[in-house]
Amino acid sequence: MKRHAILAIALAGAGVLGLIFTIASHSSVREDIAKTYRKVGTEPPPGGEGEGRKRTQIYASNKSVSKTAKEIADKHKPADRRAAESGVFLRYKEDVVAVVPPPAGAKGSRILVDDEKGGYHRNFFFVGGFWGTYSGPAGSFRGGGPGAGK
Amino acid sequence: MIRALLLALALALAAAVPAQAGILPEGDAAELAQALAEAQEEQDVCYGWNVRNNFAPTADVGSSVGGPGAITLTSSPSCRKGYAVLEGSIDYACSSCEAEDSASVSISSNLPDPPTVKDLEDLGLKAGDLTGDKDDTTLVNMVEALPLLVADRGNAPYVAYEQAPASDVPPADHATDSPGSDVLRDSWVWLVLCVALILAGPGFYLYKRAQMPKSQQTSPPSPAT
Repeated sequence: MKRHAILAIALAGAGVLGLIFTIASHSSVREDIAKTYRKVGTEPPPGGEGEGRKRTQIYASNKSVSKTAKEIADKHKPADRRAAESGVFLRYKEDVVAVVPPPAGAKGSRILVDDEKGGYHRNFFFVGGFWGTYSGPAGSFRGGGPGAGK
Repeated sequence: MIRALLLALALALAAAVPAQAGILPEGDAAELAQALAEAQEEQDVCYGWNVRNNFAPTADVGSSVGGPGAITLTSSPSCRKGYAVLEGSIDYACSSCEAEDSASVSISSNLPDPPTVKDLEDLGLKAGDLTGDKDDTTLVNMVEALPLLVADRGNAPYVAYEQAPASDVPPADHATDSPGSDVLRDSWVWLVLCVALILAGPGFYLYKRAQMPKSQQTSPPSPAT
């Protein structure tokens, strides 16, 4: 009986340790991008600075827009994503990542990391109505969000 | 009399609303064609979509040249560098059938290094999603991704990214629907496994205890002093 109790405690203990390790070792997409790509600047957040707002972080990747977006999305699954003619936009709980073409004459791609409000403002032409409200000329595909159906 | 008037009004309204061809309403198709026309202007590449289905009399069709409802890219002189068209087929199974809904896509193009379906999948755009709840956004994403993929493969320059000026964003507009926990999304398999282990411990103990003879389940009483 004692052997069974020890085995039961070992199983539950392994589960608790695994749970703690999984949560503690999880890094945010913002942290991973900062570690992986070359930082080229910061900007005040679109929509105005204020309490709790995070400055926009700008990075450069030497890979193409779609390859860079895939690399980020493979590592951190976005809640929602939008592919458009001039960029790929990834939505996370607190961050919006925009992978867009590089400045004229440069190669690779540019990564803009905003907080949720900043990302929605900056990329409004692309995500407006898809990830939230949109007061422009509305089409029915505008108006979704993570998990939103028709 | 009133019933007849209401019926006439309903019929008039039904006639006034344009019929939806497939999964994309007319307004959305016009918006999509406009976005493609702007990409064509910058890239000299024409774009279009042609997605057939088995639930509507006509297909979802449109292009950067002719707008929604028209696709005549192969002969258009304005497609100097070439064209790329998303072709697709959506097949809804009948409710009593055993078969499941299905969809497939392909890209027809005369560009030297055309985008592929794998490129779309790498962006998270799967043909199967055309049968889901967000079929319209999937189609829009697939078609709008074509100019990006064409540029990625070096066929044309990128369409310039334009940040929305603060004045263009109505103050009332904001993101909605919480995206949910990033940890859960990234590591749900591990979390489920760990919770299963935590539950398995006591479960295993109780199972083994129930298997034992009754006499062994409780420890013998300590001798009286």
